[in-house]
Amino acid sequence: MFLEVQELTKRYGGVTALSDASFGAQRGEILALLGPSGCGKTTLLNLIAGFLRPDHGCIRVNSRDLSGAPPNRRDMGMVFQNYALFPHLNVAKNLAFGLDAHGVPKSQRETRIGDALARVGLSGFEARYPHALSGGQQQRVALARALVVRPSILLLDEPLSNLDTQLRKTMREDIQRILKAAEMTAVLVTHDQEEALVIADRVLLMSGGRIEQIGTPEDVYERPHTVFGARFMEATNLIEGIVVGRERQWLEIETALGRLLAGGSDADNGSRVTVMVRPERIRIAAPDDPRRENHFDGTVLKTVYHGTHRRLHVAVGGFELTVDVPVSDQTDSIADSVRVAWRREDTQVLAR
Amino acid sequence: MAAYAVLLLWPLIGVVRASVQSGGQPLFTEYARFFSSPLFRAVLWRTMSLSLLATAVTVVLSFPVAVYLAQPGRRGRTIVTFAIIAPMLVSAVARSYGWIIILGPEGLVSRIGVFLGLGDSSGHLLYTELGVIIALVHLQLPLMVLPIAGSLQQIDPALDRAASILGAGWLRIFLKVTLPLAAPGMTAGAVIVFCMSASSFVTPALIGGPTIPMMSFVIYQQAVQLIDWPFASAASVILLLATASVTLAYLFWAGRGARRRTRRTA
Repeated sequence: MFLEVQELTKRYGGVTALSDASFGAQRGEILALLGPSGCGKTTLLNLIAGFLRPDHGCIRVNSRDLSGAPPNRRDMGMVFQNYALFPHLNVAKNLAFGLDAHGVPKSQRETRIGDALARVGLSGFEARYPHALSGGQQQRVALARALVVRPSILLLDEPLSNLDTQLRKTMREDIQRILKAAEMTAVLVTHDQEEALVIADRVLLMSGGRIEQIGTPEDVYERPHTVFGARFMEATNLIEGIVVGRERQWLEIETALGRLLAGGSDADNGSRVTVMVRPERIRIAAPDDPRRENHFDGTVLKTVYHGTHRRLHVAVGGFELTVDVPVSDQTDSIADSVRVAWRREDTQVLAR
Repeated sequence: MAAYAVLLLWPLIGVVRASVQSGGQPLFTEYARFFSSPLFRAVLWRTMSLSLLATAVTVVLSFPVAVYLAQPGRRGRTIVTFAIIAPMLVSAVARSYGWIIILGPEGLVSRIGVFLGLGDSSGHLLYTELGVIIALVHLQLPLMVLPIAGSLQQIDPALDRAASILGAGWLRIFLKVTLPLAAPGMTAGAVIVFCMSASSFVTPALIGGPTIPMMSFVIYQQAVQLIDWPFASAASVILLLATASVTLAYLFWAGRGARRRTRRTA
């Protein structure tokens, strides 16, 4: 592993901000620390940067132990939430600051600065001052300033949270492309799950100072391990139930909807579990649909148009199921009584 | 504003008129008299150089205090702020007598000097330029500390972190980030302290005494003791112009970069 974090713990007084965090990153891999505010993701980033000292644990980059190394001796780059560009320096001098501090010879600086600005698409902006740049441009300068010193690891602290929605969507793809082109190992902090899914190779889902789950974007999104993870990834259908039996690899679970089959766990008979199914995995089925799936009859309570899909609220046996169906002619007129169905593979048993 | 202009300009015009009209003599007789005298030239030079020196010392001493005050959540900030402002609450005369006691022949400084074997009891700082500078710095510290602290508080704390992660140690951060961004406060403080020093009367008069007269002391002597109003007026105008030109030169120099940067504000 290029970046290794082991048992990292940070306490503030009696409060544990980060507890026993361990993970690693390959060279060139982009990790996202994802979670709500107060989950410890920023603390973790500041520990890696060296702005905070851990109470326990260690951080290694390329087998070098960074314990005790101050931020300026860690060979890292960072993009700050508010960009933190030097207001008294123009763009070229903002980039030159790190080169100067790293002792890069003057003869190389101009080329390096030109290259870095070209990477972020800001060639020709050398003489501009930060206040004369738009938010998106400041963001790119901040990225170029961090990349120009060729750090071993790039840290990004909520880099897109100060941009408007439209720009955020284009910038997250740009950032992903720029980081991959630079073969940069990066750790991104975000509370925006889409941002994490789009940019990162692996996502560390965090809650209450702990890492809840580490996995690829698909893993974390499709197969959350915990109720928290499912909620955070907007899997709105969380159904309580009791395990009553087993059919091959599937668990048979008695719920408010009725009996259903689910995977992803080997809980014992009689144990209480929570089952999740994503709204977009549920479809409206014909009454005589032959597929062996979880299926229930219900009543449509409400239909909400979302542009990309239609969200139905369907009452099934006292449970309100959220169902997202594509917008099409067929779904324009949905009867009050429907049959909803979904695959067992899409039915996930969660750890409590 | 109009009242201010009248109250400021009317006496000023009076002084300028008094300085150029001296009973039928050519217009700038009094000015020629001033500059032809080596004594008065020395007084003007001393006033300017002493004020500049006092300003420089004040900047250097103020910076660490301002850095301390600018840090959020520091305990004892209120007490330090009060201690800094305290000299301004005491009348100039009382404060100067205090310094006379400390700097004088049997004073604290002299005794420490004797104790350390640096000299006998005749060595003291009263009636010396160093003594005047010490007293001026003491009086004017708050006028420098407060604007610098104000400037420092405006600096985004993330800039320190950004500089640090880019590989800069504390000295580079101080020289390349903190100092340039504190410049507006330093400029304001320096101009105030320089002008106050150049025009101060009580402190240099009591601590410097007649042995090292400053401009304000000469003006006082000429006007009140010798009743030579045209000459006193001319000396006042010379002091005003000298102070104004030094101040303007400094402001212009300090403003070069700032103007370029603030042409368009975000």
